[in-house]
Amino acid sequence: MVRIRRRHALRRPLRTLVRCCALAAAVVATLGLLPWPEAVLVVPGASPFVATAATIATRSVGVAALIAAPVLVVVLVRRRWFCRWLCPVGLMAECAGRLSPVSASRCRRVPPIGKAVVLLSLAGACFGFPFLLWLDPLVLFSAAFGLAHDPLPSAGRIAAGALAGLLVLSFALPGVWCRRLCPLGATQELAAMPGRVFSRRRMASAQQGDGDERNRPWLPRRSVLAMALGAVCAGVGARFGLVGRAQGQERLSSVLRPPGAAPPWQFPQLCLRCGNCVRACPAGIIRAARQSETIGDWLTPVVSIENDYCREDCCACTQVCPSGAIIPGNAAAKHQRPIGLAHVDLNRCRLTQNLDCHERCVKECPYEAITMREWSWEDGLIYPIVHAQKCPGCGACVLACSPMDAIRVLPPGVSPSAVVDSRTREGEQEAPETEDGGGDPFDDWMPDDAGTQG
Amino acid sequence: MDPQRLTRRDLMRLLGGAGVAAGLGTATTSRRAWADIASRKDAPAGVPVVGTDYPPTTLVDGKVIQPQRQLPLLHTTDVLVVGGGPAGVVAALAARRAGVKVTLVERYGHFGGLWTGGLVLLVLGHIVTGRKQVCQGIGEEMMRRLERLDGGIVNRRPGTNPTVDAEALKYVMVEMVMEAELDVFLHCWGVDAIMDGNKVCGAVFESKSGRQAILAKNVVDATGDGDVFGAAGATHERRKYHIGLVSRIGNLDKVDRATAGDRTPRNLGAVTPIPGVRWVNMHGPDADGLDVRELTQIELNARRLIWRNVQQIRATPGYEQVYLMETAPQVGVRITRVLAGLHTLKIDDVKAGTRFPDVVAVGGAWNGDHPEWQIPYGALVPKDVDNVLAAGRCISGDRLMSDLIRVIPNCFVTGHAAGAAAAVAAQDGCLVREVEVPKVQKLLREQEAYLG
Repeated sequence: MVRIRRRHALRRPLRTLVRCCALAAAVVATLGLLPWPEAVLVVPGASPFVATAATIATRSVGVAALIAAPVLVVVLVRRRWFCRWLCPVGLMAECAGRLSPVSASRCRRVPPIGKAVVLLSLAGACFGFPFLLWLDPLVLFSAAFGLAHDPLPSAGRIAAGALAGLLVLSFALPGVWCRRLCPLGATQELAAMPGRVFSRRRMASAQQGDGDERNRPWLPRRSVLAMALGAVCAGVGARFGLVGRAQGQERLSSVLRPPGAAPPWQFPQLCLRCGNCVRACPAGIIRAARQSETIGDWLTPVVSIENDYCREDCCACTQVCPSGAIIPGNAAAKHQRPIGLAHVDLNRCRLTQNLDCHERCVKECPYEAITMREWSWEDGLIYPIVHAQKCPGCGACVLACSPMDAIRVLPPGVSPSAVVDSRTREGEQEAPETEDGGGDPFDDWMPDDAGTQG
Repeated sequence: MDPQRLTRRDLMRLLGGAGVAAGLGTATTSRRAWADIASRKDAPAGVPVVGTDYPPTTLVDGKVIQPQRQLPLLHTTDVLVVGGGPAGVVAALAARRAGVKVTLVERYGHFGGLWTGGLVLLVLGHIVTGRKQVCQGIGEEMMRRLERLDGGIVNRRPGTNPTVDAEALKYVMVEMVMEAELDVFLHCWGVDAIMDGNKVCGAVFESKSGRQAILAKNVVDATGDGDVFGAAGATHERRKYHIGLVSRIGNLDKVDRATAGDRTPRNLGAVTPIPGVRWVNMHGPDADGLDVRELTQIELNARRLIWRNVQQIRATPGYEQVYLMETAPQVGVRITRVLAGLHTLKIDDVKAGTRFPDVVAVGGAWNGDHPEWQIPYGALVPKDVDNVLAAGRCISGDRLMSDLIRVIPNCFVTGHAAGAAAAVAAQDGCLVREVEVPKVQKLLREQEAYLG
C-alpha cells in the first residue's frame, strides 16, 4: 500500500473526485431524474454479483448482465477496482467510518461473511435459487430510492433503514462492511482470485519467496464448504419447495406478480427488492408485499388492482428489472406471461339477477377478452365470459365492475375455488345499504342495488 | 218465579217463529238469485244494428281489398300527442300548461307505457357525474308526487336511481292528466298519419269505435315505435334490439335465510316499493319489435321461461314461498324505429359533452357515470316531414345512443321539449321546424326544465 501511494501521489484526490462523481451520478440515475426511465437499471445492474447470480439462475443474459460485464472484466485483473473507483455505498460507508473514533483494524477479527454470501448465492443460482441477492450494496442503494415510491411509505422506510443500518454499522466498526460483509466486494475478491494465481505480481512474490502468498490454497476450504452448503440448500429448496408452499408439482402464486414475472417458485429468490418496478409503474399498481404467506415473499412486488389497472400500452416494469425476475417484454406480449386471469363470479354478477348493468367489463376490456354470452331461452341470461387466451389479467374489468366486485384477477393457474373469498357476508352487511331500502329485508345482504347507489 | 226468566213455552215459541222466518227468507232470496242469473231487469236497452257503417274489406281476385271510405272525425285539437308513456304524458302536460288545446291518445287503458305496463320500474339515467340530477321539470314533478304517496317510490335519494310502483304511478298520471284537463282517449291505437301535402295534420286511430281521425295543428309522436312519423313517410332507421318480458315476484320477505344460507338463486331481480316484491327484468333475444310474429314468439317463450325461473327459485331451500306475482301486460320492446332528424345525436357528443345552441333537453346516464349531454331541438324534428315531433326513445340518435335515449328520464325531457315546442308552434301558427327555439327554451325554463 505504501508503495502504491508513493507511486501515485495524485491518484488519491483523483479517486475521491471520481467516487464523488459516481455517487452523484448514482443518485441522479436512481432518483429517475434522467430522461429515459431505464436509467434506474444502471445502479443495481452494475453489480457483477447480481448479474452473475441472475444470469446463472435465469439461464439467460439480461440487460443487467451487459452493464455488469465490463465491470466484471476489469475486476478480474484489477482487484476491488469497483470498490476503489465507483462504489457509491463504499464512499458513504467510508465517510461514516472516517467519522468514527473506532480503529479500522478491529474489523479484521470479523470473518469474511461476504464471501460466504456470494458463494452461497452463486451455488444456489445453479439451482435457480440465488439467495441473498438483495444484500448487494447497490441493490440496497436503489431500494432506498425505489421503494420510496410505494404507495405505502413503510416499504421505503424499510429500504432506507437498511441503507442507514449499513452506515451505522460502518460507523460502529469502520471497514467491516466493505472488507468483510459486502457481497459485491467479496465477488470482486473471488473474481480476482484466479487471476492472481497467474499474475505477474504473484509470480514475482513467489520468486521473492513470499511464503504466505505461495502457501495460500488456490481455492480455500471455507469457500468450497460455502458453495457446497449453498448447493445443498438450493437443491433441498428446489426439491421440497422449502422457500415457498409447494402445491403439488408446481408451486402456484397466491399473489399477482407484474407481467412477465419469473415462475412463482423462482420469483421471490430472483427478486432484488430494489423497487424499480414499483417506481416504474405509471398506474401505481405494483406494491411491495408486506403481508405475505412466506417470509421469502417479503417486499417482493405484487400487483394490486384497486385504483388502477395494468395499462395496455405499458411494460415499464419489465424494462427496469435488474435481475430478470421480471423478464423484459413489450406491451403486446403480456399474454405470454400474464399477471393472471380474470374470473367472473356469477353469483355476484348483476346480470344473473337480471339487474340493470352497463356491461362495462365487456366495454372496458382493452383486449376484447371478455364477451357477453349470447342470450338464449335456455337460461334466459346474458353474462360475461373471459377468454383466457386473450386475457393478460390487467384488471381493467375489475375496476369496471366496481362496486359489485364480481370480477377478480386470479394468479396464473389458480382455480377460482382454490382462493378463499375474503369478502365475507359480514363485509357486505357493513355496506350501508339498508337506508330506506323499501323495507325489503333482502337489501341488507343481497348483491343488489349497490350500482344504483352510485 | 222471576218474571225476567224465559219460560220453556216462551222459548219454544221463539224458536218456532225464528224457524218460519228463516225458511221464508231462504225461499225468497233463492228465487231472486234465480231471476238474476237469467237477466238484469234494469239493463239498458240495446240498439238494433243492421249492416255496417262502411263497406267491409272484401276478397277481390284472391286479394284482400279495403274500400276507400271517409273516416269519422273523432276530435279536433291544437296539439295531438300519440302515446301515453312517460314522454307522451309529459309532452301533453307541457303543451297544455302552455295554454293550447291538447289531446292525449293512448293504446292501452292506462298511462305510463312501458314504465307501468311494461313493469320497467327503475328510473335509470337522471343523474350525471357528481350525482347531479339533470332530469327536472314535469318528470321530476311526477316523482315528487309519487314520493308523497305511501309505497309510491323507493330509493329516492339524491344521486340514486329510484324504483316506482306501477299502480301508484298510473294513479299519479291520471291525477295529473285530469287536473290539466287534457282531452284523453284511451284504448286508441294510432295506426296512420293524416297528411296534407308534406304536413302531418292528424292521425288515424283504431279502437272499439272503429277507425276514426283526430285532426291537429301538429302532432307529437310519443309512440316509442315512431308509428306516426313512420306512417307519415319520414326517413327513419328500423333497429333490432333485445326484447324481454318483465315480471314481478312476491313473498321474498318470507324467505328463510337460515335455511337458504349462502345459496342465492338467480333471477331475483330488484326491489320495488312493496315489501317482499321484486321486479325481474329480462334481457331477451334481439328481435324486431315491429314484427308481430317475433313479438308473439317472445311472449310465448318468455312466459315459459319466467315460470321455469320462478320454479327454480322456489326449489332453492328457504325460498319455497316465493311466487310469480304477475308478468308485464306489455312486452319490453327497447328500440325499434329511430327518426332521421335534422340533427342526429352521436355517442361522441355525449362523451365530449357537446353544447348546442338549440338545446331543449339535457340527458343523463345510467348511473351517473357520464357528464350531462345536451339534446338539440333538431333531434326531435324529422328531416323530411313537417309538423310532427318525435319524443321518447324514437328521437334521432346513432346506434350507440340506443341505450341512453331509451331510458325513462330521457323520455321525460324529450317529451317535455316536444310538448313545449308543439305548443309554441300551435300558438305561433308555424311549422314545428320553423319554431323559434329561444321561445321554446324560455317556456321550458318557466316549466322548471333544466337546459344546462
